[in-house]
Amino acid sequence: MNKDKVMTANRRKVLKLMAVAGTSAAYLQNYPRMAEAQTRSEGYGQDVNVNNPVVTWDKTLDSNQLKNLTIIGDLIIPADDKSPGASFLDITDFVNEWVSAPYPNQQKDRDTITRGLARLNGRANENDARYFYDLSADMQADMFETLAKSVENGSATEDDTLFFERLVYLYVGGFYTTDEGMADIGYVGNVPLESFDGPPEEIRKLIGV
Amino acid sequence: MAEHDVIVVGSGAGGGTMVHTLATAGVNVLLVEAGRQYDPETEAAMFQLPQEAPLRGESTPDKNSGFYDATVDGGFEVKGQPYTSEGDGFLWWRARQLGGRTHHFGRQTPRYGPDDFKSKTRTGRGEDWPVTYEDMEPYYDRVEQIMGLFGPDANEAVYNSPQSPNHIRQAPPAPRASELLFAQACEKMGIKTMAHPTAILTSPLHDRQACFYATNCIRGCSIGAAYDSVTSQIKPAKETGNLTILTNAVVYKVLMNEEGDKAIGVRYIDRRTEEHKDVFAKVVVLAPAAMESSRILLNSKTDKAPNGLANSSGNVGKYLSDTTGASLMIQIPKFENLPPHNEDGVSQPHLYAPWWLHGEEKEKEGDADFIGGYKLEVSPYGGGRFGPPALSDTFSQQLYEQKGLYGKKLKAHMRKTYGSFMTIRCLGSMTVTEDNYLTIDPELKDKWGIPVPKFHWKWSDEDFRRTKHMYKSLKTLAKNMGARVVRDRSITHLEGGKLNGRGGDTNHEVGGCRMGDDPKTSVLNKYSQTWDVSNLYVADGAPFVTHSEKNPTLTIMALSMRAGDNIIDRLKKGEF
Repeated sequence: MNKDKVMTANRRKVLKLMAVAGTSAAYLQNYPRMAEAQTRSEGYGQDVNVNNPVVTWDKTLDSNQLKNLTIIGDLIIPADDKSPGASFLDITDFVNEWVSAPYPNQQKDRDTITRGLARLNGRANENDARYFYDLSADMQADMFETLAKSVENGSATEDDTLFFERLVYLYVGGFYTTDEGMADIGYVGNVPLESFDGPPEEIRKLIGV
Repeated sequence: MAEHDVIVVGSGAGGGTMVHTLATAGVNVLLVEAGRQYDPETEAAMFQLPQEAPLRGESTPDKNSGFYDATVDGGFEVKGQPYTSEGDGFLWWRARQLGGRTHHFGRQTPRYGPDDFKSKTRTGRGEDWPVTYEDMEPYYDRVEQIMGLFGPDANEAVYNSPQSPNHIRQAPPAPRASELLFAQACEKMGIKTMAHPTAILTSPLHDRQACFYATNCIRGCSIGAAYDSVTSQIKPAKETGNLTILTNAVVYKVLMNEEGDKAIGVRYIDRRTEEHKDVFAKVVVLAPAAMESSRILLNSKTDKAPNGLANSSGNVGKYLSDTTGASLMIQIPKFENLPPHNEDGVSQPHLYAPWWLHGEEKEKEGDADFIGGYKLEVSPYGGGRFGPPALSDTFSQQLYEQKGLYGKKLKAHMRKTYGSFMTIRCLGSMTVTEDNYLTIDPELKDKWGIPVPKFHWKWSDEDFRRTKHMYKSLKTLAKNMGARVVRDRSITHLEGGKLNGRGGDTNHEVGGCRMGDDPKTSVLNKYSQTWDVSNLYVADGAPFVTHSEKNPTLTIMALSMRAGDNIIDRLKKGEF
């Protein structure tokens, strides 16, 4: 609640800084495209070589966005004794690939995430930091916890809710499709078998069949 | 002069069966395919993981069923080849490759039952086909021997769901853990379960290998374990020396003689050069997929056939149908924290419950007031441990109810609940009515200037009632499985007291050139030969009269083989 009040008190300052952040984000997003006509932004088409998968578009998030995402990625998927954190497997690179893709759903996610990141920077500005990543680790964690709590209790704005949910979905999706992530949840398939004999006795007992 | 005995347009389940039937009988065949050459042996992705694909393999407008799906230049949209729809809307899945949609095919191959061919006679509702189960049975046997399938013990078959004989079908894989629970729950409901007849080999057949129980079949099958028309029919047909294959040839017109009573060939556009070319034969067989057959006939007007070829009945493009369906996302607490175990299997359900209510039993049910029925099964997609975990197939279920979850608690949740979410589903009959048909759009044309189809779609009240009954059964099933319903699709699906959703969504669209005993009310006779043009046949899903809850492919193939036999017979008699 305190944080909400602080935000209200600093509204004018926040709005001003967010406007600056917004402009700079737009500038950074668009400038490389104008400068380099070579930026690839095509989809892979309807006749792909599935045995030689190629990402046909360039990843276009800027370095500030990537730095913020890397921190957020580890807040969403932290390392523990069973598996590494998101940054160790560079899941942010997958998020960058996703939001740079030229397809409508991915472009929608790009909008959701880049605007969400700009809002986080705005909140960092209230704490005299230019970017979210400039905050101390504790402050980053606090700010993300506030966002998560507001999503949990339904007080978050629609934009913030979507921002949080899409980030979690993409980090979960990126992480649990890696070898480490699949091992963590216990996926043991995708191997050739002579025969399929059904679940082992141990499983049958546990589920009562 | 005819260069070939027979031209077959389209190389999917219908076309593949036709060329195999004809070429192996010594008939000179030209196969004309709109898409490119495709060979699953070298092209299908088998063990590749989502992590190796762009966007972790998730679906995009370019690849509607995900990056690794076998479909080439297709999906619900084909660039430059649009279609329109009105009413409840329609989705039209197409593929542009040798083998057509048989690579993307789910491989479920149940037989139609005796009642399915004689709905009107047996139940007083629907329509009768001009063939009986007894007529079709030998063709089911022969098709299955070429295609290969696993299925249940034929002696286990329930009423109106006949199964492949034990000397043809192969042994099924064992049920998965979730399916054992499904079977237990069905038993409580008095519903019998058994292996689902599926065109996948569990033992080698015709130089094809047995399944190795990994990899989703919609990627195509490089070892030939899952049936596709290229591996099982077109390659052996080619080996006879009687088959010529023309790819990238988009047929848009049947060519007629001056009298307008005999087909002499077809006209196509070469996709690469955009040249219009003609090819000739004694007999023309259309098998480009049901909707396209109607489109070609309606676009093949002559002075004698001003409303479209073979359309003296006015029935071309009419009586379309798809299957109906319902699904629930469920979560089973008993499946939480289970030790890792391999549940991949064949990527299709290993078990199912064939439709169980008939006659008095159905009447007693009270709210089962509809033609046909539906089957029950656990979906191999949308949860569970089937296949490598992926965003939309696995994690979206696990995250569906979560609000604000992240960090260590998120990781704990993912471990605990992995494999405990799944989708239970029904596939059902559709009531065939005059409200579902296609016409030629009066304005829109494809990139080559060929008029495109316009679909008119309207679900009937009976489809609504059947689907409502499906959800009732699914909810009882969920309860009996010890599951809770996470996502109840019926809320939107049945909203406003009508069935919401688009036709074609289940990729089972058939009809448009229905067969019959009366030339005034049907387009084809009982051999799939057009009433109006004796040397013109239709051998895809277009001949369907009614639509049961059984997936249509096996019946498409059996009808095609039967038509093929008829062509061979008439060629021998010199009738063409």
